[in-house]
Amino acid sequence: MKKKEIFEKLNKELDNVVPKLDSRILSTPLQAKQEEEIIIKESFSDKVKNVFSLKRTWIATASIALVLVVTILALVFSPLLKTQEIEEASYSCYVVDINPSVILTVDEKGNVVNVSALNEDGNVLLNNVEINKDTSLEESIQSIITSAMKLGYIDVSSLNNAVKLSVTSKDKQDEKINLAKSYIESVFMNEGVYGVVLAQGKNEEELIKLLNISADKNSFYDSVKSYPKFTYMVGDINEQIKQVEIELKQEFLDMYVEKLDNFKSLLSEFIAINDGLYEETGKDFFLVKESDLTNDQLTKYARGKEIIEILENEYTYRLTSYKLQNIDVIATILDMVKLYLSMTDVSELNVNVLIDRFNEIFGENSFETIGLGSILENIPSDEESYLLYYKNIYESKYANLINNNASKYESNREQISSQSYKEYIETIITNYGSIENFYNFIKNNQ
Amino acid sequence: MKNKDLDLLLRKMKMGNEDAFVELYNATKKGLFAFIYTYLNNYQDSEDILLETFIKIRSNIQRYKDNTNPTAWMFQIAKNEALNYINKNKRVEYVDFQENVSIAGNYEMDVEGKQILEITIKVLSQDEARIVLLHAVDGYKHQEISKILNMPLGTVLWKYNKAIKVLQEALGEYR
Repeated sequence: MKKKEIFEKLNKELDNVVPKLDSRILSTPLQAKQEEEIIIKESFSDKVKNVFSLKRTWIATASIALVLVVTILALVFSPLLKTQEIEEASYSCYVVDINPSVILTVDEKGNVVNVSALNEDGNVLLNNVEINKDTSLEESIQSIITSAMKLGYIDVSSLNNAVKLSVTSKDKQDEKINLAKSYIESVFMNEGVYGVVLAQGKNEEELIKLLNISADKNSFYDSVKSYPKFTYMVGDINEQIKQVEIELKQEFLDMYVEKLDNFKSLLSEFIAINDGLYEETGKDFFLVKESDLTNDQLTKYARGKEIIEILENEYTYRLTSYKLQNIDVIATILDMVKLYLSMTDVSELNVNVLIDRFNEIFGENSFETIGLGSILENIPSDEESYLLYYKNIYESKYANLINNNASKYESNREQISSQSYKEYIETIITNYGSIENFYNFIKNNQ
Repeated sequence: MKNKDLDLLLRKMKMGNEDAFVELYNATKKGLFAFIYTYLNNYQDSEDILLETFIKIRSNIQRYKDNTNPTAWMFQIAKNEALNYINKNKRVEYVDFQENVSIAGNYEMDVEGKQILEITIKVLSQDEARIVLLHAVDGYKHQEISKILNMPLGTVLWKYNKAIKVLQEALGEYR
């Protein structure tokens, strides 16, 4: 029975037997959150009333008027993204200003792509949050507020906490204001802290004025992009390194699959030559005598020798008469490896799993017997090996770029040669925000 | 349904959205039922545990962490419910197809879905059966299945290919 038919029948059977939504399920309450806004407002106003009814007076600290202005800047402001690719429709700005002031850049999907500090306290605040480039707006805002509380920028005992929120957006501005406001209020509610959110919309001109950036360029995007402080990259460096490693591994896999294809192609060509010679001479490649061959046969023979040399030099694979007898198995291995590589999550790549499976099919130690181990030797089996392997490729790929600017990037060259690749990435990200920023910086400053 | 869509539904459920729950139920019931079936091997018990699973999902919705893996979360609940049931009852019913004339012996008719399901459970290991059913029923990708079953992707691929072969051979005998 074909797989498709099996699957169809299984699905049909399950369509018949899986029950419809049972009322007993629906009778279980869905433990939803309470309405946040109402609770905040009621509690705050009630408390205010209580305060004024008391004879004690609270000392309000003026400096504690924390103004949280959540700024979600359009992608175009982010140093991670290319301005030219940002469409106007995705543009939106939210300004969040606590006495630490921070700016969040959010894309059209609502993911934070950059977080920048607008002042020194902002740097302190952002050093204590973990926001990756794909973190949602909600999570980012809430972690900023929570961090501000922990660091004391928001006084949890005060009744005078205020958060200033301004939003600049070409579309659905009101909706975005309300949503961002609710994120902040939910943190107050969950933490039992009293605070109000002062939300407003701002147009581009007002934002430019607020940020005190040059407005002499035609495009607002360019103006904000030139804002000097939009370079602070927040996020877990380890996470970023992990991402870079995954990208590099993927690139390695692609290269390796191509290499396997080439290997198999050479092998196939050799098999064809061998079969042709055997048909014409009655002897396989390794037994034939050159002196017995015709000119045409000699040409093929020469090519066969060339292939053997390529396999030895480039793939460290020594093709022998014995191996030729098992060429079908070899071809199977190559297909397996290629399939495995193309389907495996790079972070889980483990060539030992592949070897184990092969030996399960063909018998113990078959893989080692067949002699293809050298082909797979180049697949690193651990993280460190990947990094070392890729360090070489990375250096050769970008060496020219960096060497041509040796005087400017002397320290970077030293770093390449003396540090491990992981440390190198870490240094780059620390100094430039991302690998991409670093390359762009070099290119733009050549 | 993709994980990000499931995540959105769960987040809506956290806010009390019943429509989101209905959508979630319809999108995931088959996969969860098939998964539970590989533990319990009979429809009635599986139906009961499916019900318990969704009750648990509803009552523990606030424990779901946004932007994580909703599929793995739901399947973990299903697994826990199934195992609790097994431990409580200290028995697992096996379908003994040798006693079932309709699927043993000389069999002239087409093998229907129910028989295929029973044969799947019988000839495959539990892990293999789960991998095949999840892929067949709700189209879970192997990578998703590896996360649900907490198994390396390479192993999932390997077991899947082997299981399909075994299943086809077994079903071939009953055609």
